[in-house]
Amino acid sequence: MSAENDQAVVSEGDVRQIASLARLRLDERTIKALTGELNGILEHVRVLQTLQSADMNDGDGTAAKPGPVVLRDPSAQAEPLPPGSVERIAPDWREGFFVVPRLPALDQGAVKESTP
Amino acid sequence: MNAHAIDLECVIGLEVHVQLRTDQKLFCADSTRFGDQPNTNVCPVCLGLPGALPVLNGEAVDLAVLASLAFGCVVHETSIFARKNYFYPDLPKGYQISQFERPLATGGCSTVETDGVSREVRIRRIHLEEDAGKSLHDRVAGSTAVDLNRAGTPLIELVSEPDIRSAAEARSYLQQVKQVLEYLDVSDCNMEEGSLRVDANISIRPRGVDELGTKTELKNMNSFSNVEKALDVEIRRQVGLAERGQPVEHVTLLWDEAKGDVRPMRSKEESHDYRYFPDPDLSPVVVPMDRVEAIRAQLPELPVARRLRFEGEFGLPAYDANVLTSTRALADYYEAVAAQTEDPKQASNWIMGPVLALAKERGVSPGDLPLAPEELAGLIGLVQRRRISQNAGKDVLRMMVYRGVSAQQVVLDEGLTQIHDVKHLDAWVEEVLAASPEEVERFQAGEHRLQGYFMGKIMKASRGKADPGEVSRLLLQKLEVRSPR
Amino acid sequence: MTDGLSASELAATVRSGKIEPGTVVAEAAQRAKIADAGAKGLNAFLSVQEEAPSVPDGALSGVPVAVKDNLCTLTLPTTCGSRMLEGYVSPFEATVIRRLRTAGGVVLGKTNLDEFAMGSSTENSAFGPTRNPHDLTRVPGGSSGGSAAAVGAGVVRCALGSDTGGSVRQPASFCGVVGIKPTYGRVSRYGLVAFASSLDQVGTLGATVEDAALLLQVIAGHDPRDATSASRPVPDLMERMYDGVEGLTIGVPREYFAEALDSQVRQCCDTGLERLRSAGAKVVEVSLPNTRYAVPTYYVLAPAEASSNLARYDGVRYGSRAANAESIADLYEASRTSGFGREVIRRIMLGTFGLSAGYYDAYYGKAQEARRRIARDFAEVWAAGSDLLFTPTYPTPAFPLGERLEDPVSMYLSDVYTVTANLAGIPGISVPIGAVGDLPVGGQFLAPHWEESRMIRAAAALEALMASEVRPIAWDTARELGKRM
Repeated sequence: MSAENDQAVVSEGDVRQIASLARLRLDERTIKALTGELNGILEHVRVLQTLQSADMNDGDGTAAKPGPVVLRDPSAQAEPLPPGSVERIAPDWREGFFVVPRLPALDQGAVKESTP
Repeated sequence: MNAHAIDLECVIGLEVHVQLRTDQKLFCADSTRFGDQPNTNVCPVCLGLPGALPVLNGEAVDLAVLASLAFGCVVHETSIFARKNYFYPDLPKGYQISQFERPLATGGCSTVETDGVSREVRIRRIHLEEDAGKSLHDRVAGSTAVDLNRAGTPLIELVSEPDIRSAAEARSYLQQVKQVLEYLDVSDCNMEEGSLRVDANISIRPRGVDELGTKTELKNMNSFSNVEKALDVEIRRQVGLAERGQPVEHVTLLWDEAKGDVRPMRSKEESHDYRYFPDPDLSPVVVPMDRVEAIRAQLPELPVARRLRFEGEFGLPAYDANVLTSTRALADYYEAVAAQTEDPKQASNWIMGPVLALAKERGVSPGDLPLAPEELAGLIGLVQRRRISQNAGKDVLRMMVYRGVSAQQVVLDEGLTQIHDVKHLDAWVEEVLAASPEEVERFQAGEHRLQGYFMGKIMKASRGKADPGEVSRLLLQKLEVRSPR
Repeated sequence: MTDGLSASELAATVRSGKIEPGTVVAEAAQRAKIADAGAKGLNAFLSVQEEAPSVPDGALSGVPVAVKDNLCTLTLPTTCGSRMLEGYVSPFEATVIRRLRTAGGVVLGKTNLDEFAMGSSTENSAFGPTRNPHDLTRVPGGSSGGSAAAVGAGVVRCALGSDTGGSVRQPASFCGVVGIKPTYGRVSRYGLVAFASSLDQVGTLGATVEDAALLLQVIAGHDPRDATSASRPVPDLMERMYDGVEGLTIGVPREYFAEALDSQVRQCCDTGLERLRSAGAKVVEVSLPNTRYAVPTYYVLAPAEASSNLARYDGVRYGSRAANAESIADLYEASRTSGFGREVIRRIMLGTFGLSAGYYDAYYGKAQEARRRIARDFAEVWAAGSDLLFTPTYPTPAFPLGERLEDPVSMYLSDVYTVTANLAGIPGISVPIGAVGDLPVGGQFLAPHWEESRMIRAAAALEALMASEVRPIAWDTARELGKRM
């Protein structure tokens, strides 16, 4: 990503790319407005730049002192959802599956199952 | 095995995803059972419902540590779960909980033997992560069907350094990895069921150069032999490009088994910015050193060590030791049998031969035959003491397995006890010789191969019960006596 | 009939059998309807139910509780104030809801909020803003504005909210009620729809300190379903509630009394401190030098976590799905863009940026460092002798509807007094200490980790000391106000 000028941290191009990463479809007006807003916010956040970066993995980010590793009780049973629960909330459900538009990899024929 | 051009070598790294054989998923209590009705082993956590939270399954950590130790890795006391953010319909939360900068284990290695040549392949890291669900493309017409039963199943990912130098070596590496994991009983390692998956990274470079060439990623290989074929094809493709002076592009390729070729994944060009960050819902994974040592103490004897011990302790040839240690169950079985027989080589022959054949016939592994080690040992003992003949023994084996009874029982039922009594044997030999005067003459004239003919007749007359060794001795004795000279 | 009774008094009345259990709920449901009715309605509730109480002898038997609509309930939808979850009924209930019901409490209805808890005014709800019961032209604060308004208008004695950067304390201040944010990990987040996982906590609102504390007592405690919930046992939070502030050292951080603070709010705080001194507390000036990083840190970390937590809203498994999507990419983009409001989109964009390749160190990394420093500031003032800190809750009283919508930065900057507690994980409580005209003003106590009892004690003392400056909550008064406006 590149800055368009010294002041702005994000350009409209950057905003388009971020929107794509976040799976958002923004019209031109919104992109323009958001570019301004984000730069405004980032301007206020600039003060953080004076700090030394933390070792991110030194602790997991929770505020209170981290304790020993938390594990699930192996004897705890799964609590089944009431029958039909999943179907009831699904936007499109057929034969026990969640249904979505055909994935692009399908057009390639030989792939039965895809993982990205 | 190496690239066809004289001065190029291929550089291969493999990423192996292995499902851990836990009862429950990595972050929730749902079953990991394969083959159930779709979307039945699901709960708010693995469905990614609003408000759901993950809680770590300790059994998965233990198995991952065990695997890491078996590959000689350093197990880190603290490792961190990180979110790998991307969108895919079978990824319920829109991120996968994995490990990124602080994995569970690093710095291991695997000794790989390919066509008699042994090499070390270093293992860069082993980390824990959750599996995604399945997107099925022909289940519902015109759409993609999503089943989340598999979502949340614990995986370990083994990432090798790019130390592999040929497609055949890649295959050997995978077989070695699978064998070790099977010995540890941490996974079913079944590529058909998807409990073991492989992605490859391949590049080529002039031999002697340290810098890596542009790599391609290869996916969708569903068996070890397909991995080898796919790698061969891709290596040839890259070499072809190099020979034409064309660059290799950094692409992801899919192996098309039907066509026997690779093709680029035609998905929308994604910037793979996973935006990893430590998962704030989970505490760091802490495996104290004493726990690591306790798990290390549970390591079974690994395949290579066991093979060498079989050669040494039982005096078995390398071939036998290799076959018998191919799985832990088989090795355990062999040792149990060998402990109860006098001749370990006999035990080996019986298992490698008739037992394995019978198991294959019945479509099970030898350990699943209704043939307890002491039963087999008993049978071998009968043959050793010549109570029954070797051939009879093979028949007895079949009957033991199909009837589920002991060797003694079968022998009794079938009246197979080998006859040693010289009086009986004598009678049969005489009977046969008397019936074949012409052949006797020819034998005595020098056609000594007719011994086989006589033996056959005698064994037939005795309905296979005659002790062949004794019979042979008697026969030759009598033929000599009959000699005119 | 039940007007003016505290939550504990209501429960005692129900337990004793002096009143029909359903009566209290029915009355509250009536009030809810009236409060929200017409053009001048508060729009506090998104859904209301009259559930029959079923636990006769619990700490909250028969007590109706308003619940912020980002807490999962089984019988009412959980919309999070968003089109994305309009009509969504969760198949599981939040742990805090289960505990509430086990104690006999009744979920009266789900209250309005800023969409996905992102905001400080409840104007970012997809279902219209909520009005401040003290002045219908002004905001109730946010994001738990609906819950605060419901308590402030006398509809219910207590309510559940969530606090990520002040979302319980600030609306409590604006609506003249008490709001508690517990120590991070004190209350289970299982079933709280996640906004920023390392900052979110379920909080309680009450007409009095006792009301809010009682509700907190009922819901607090370890939950095996939430790996971030502490196993530390919950003490009796109200044990010494009326013991007063004699002997307590109260630190006053100078950074919280700088220019941005409205002079009349400052006045209320000064009066409060005076009275605390006269009641036997020692008041000292302290410094929290890293306060200047607080808002920037919060507005890097919270959106980053939110961008990941909201990735699950993709129209695939639940929630609103855009019709006629031609491809999966289309489905994602259309569903998410139409499902999310402007503020949510802004924060997802900000968060995605902060985590993206090339910017992670500069933003997320540095924010984590700042967070550590902010937490250390508090640790140091505790170590230096302060038992509690006292600050204003918010720089101003409630602002007019629509005033700050176009300038998100100014809204963000005003969160400075509240975000620090979330960043450090310490508990905080806002208690009414006065008014600016008709508009309530709250003062905040901050306490060390796990010292909710201490801050509840100080808050109860201050509540009593400032009673003369504060208009008590009463249903009739609220209705009068509504008619006037």
